[in-house]
Amino acid sequence: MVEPLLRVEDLNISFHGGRSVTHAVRGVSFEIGREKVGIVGESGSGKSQTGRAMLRLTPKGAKITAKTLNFAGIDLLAASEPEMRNIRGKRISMILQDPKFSLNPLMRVGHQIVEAYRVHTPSSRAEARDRAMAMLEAVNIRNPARVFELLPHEVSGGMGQRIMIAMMLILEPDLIIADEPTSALDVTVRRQVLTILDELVTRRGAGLMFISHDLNMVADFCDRVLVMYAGRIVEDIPARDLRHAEHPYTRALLDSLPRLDRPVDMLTVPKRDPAWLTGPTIRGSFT
Amino acid sequence: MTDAASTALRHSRASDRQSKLLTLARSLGDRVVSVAVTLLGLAALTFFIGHLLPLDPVIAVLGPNATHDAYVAMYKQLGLDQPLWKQFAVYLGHLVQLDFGNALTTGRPVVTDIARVFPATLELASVAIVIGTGLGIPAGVLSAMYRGSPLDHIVRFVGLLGYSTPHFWLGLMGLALFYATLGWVGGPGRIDTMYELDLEPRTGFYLIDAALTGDWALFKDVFGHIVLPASILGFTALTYISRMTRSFMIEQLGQEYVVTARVKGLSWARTVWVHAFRNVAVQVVTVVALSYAFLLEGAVLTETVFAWPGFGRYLTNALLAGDMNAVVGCTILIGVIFIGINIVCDLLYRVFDPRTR
Amino acid sequence: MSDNVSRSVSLSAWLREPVPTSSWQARAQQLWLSWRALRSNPSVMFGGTVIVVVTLLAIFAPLVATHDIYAQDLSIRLQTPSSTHWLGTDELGRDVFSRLVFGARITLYIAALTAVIAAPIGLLVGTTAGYVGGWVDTVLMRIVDVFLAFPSLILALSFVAALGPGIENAIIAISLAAWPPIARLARAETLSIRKSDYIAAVRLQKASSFRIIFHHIMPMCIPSVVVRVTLNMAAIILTAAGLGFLGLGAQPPSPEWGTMLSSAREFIFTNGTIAAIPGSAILLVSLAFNLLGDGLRDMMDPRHG
Repeated sequence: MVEPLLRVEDLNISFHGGRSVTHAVRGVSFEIGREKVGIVGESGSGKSQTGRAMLRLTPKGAKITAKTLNFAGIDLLAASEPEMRNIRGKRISMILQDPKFSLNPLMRVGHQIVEAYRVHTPSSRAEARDRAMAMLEAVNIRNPARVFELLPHEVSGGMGQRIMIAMMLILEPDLIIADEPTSALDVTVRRQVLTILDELVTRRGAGLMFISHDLNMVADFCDRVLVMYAGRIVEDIPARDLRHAEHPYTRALLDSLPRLDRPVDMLTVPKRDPAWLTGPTIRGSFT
Repeated sequence: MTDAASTALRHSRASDRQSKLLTLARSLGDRVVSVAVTLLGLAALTFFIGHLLPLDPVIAVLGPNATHDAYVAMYKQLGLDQPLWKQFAVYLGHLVQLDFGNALTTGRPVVTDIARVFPATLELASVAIVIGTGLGIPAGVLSAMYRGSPLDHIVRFVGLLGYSTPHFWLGLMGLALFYATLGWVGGPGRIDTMYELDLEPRTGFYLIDAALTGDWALFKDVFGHIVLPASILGFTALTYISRMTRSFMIEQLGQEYVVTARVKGLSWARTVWVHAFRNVAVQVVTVVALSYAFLLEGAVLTETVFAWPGFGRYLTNALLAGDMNAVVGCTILIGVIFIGINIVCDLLYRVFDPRTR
Repeated sequence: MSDNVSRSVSLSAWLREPVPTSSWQARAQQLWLSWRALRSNPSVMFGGTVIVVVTLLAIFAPLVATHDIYAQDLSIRLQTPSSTHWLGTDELGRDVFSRLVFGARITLYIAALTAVIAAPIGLLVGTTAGYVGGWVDTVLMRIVDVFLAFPSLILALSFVAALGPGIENAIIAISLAAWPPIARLARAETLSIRKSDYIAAVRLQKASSFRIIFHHIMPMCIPSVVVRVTLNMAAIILTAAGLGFLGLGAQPPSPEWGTMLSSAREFIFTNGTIAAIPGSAILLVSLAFNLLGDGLRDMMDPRHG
């Protein structure tokens, strides 16, 4: 049994604002090995916060507690800030959603990639530049020298996201968190970006936490799917077994997707059952 | 790419550049027209103010005992029998030639008077802006970086006090404390009378002139005289600059690229100064430029308190004496400076923020 | 429905009822909720309390003051605070405390009058320019730009110089400098409001522009104008004090705080108190208005701060 890369047990994230407390993530437990795991849920299900908690980059006012939050033997909760800085970018990195906003608008994209490299690796500017160019080629950008000098608003969405991938994978981290990496892109471009991501992740043998609201995409792309609802994981199932999902919420999500082979007059809207807020997690096994 | 295709691309790129230049020229042209209209309005306003004066301009020149004939003659000479719009046209003509008439108090052309007193104010404002910027920008950035911390609260409270304090009063209190009681700084004026003859006014900036003579005692005296008024003016600039900087930084620190920087493993300090601050730099520069303009306003009262022989005191004396030529001349000058600084800020935005292109 | 039942319910329960049964009750509940919101904001409470206290002192000045503010007694000039003269005496032997209290009247009078003059003018110009658009907008905004090309103090000074010193002229001058920013603000608000659907609906009902501006657009601008005026109040008070200090505002022997400072100026080296006190009063009232304005703005738009 291979030791999983990431072990999370009983993760809780709560926001304390003024007088009210919001429990964004409640008792979430899962493991990620060197595989692609998708976390699916609607807005407000807590999936983004879960991703940020891995890097301890939740917003101010958020409190993280967990029984276990372990990455490759390192206790992420107990780690000091300098230790976390060492991990971020080098061992765990995160791809954000919209390159229009997630890249510094006044800095040339190539220089932002170089910065990612030089933060963790002592190297000369020329070396770092070469590495950045190599990464730009690896993400299928055909004219790396020209793109290197561009500003973020001068590149298209798909290219921007590929630059983000280059930036986040240049140090070959062991775990990559992708927070809705294709949600801001044109539908036609999504497949390209996913292919590149797939290639790089598989080549490196890294683990991938793929956060999305798109069940179809996750089912297609990932090895395993975690379904989140109201801050809890309600189902943990291998992707290929998704159509045999047992939890009513997962089934409702599946039923609300349009299918060419089973046309219906009206798509069903999931009816929320308050029992889902506290019920157990259904964990499917690899059969 | 084929030859034909690349030529076509080059042509389309060239026409792209051409159309970009055209739009730029058009927007610049718009700007120039807009500024000209505003200046015209300024002249109209000051002309109107000049005519509000309950003083009779003929009497102001001839004195109260003028004979009837002399009065009529002077009336005609001053052009007061012309219709109002003609008077305005003549007025405009004078303005364009920088002829504001002669000052009542000095008898010399207002322009020469202003040229004489302006360097003193310029020196004061410049030292003040250095203080204001040097302390204000770090205060604003740190305040935003550690938002909600005690440092943040202190900075914001000091800023609030600064907004609420009558600065001329602060000057009075400062003089009472630091000059009369403690003797740490020089008193009113730019320089002690006993040093006045040692200073050769070459640049009009006493600090520079004193440094050039190499006389340490002289320099200390000049410095001692400017430090208090400049600090007080600097304080007023500081409150504005730090408040705006803090506001800009908070906006930036909420952006996604800040998260990206931290994900890469950058420290908070580096994220703030290298990434976020770069994005507010243009805005901060415009704020500093605007503060410079506001300092001219602050100088009016401060110079009165510190008997500083600058533009502000000249204007105040002119006001109290009812010297409308001088008042109008000064007002126009300030208006023009304000407009000028606003244009510079606009240009800075266009040049340095690639997103606006 | 059940009048008897509502009469026997206590006031606080009546205010908390989830479904109001009359428009009067709904209004009262709204006011109560706004009061609750105000009360929870410390800046607003502090600023508001100070202003209320100062206003009361000003209104009841004849009752609060201990001495005649014009009575000179050169034998007791420049005294430090004592039991008879709570804040000491000035250079002509007049009681500083009494003069301070009457001075509050003048300060608040100037502030209130300026607001009453500048805000409506600014609102009118701004909403008209924003709603009507076209050349009306251009011309009006040009005029606003010309006024905004001057720092407000300089503008006020020029007007006072032209009109002559005195408190009424000072008020006119300050108002002339205060209305342009309000006009700018009102115009900006109008531009965003006039695109909304309910304005389109009213226009379809053939409402005249006049009616639309007055009944629909202006009320929507009022909250931000109120906040802005409150924030500007501090600057207005400081400008008025500056004019008084230069001798261009209220004339001596008027107990206006700025004028008091100007006469105290010669004596600061011997008796600091008579200069410190009016200045502190100006500072306190300005601070109160700034806090109140800041608090109100935070309440209306929590993004700031």
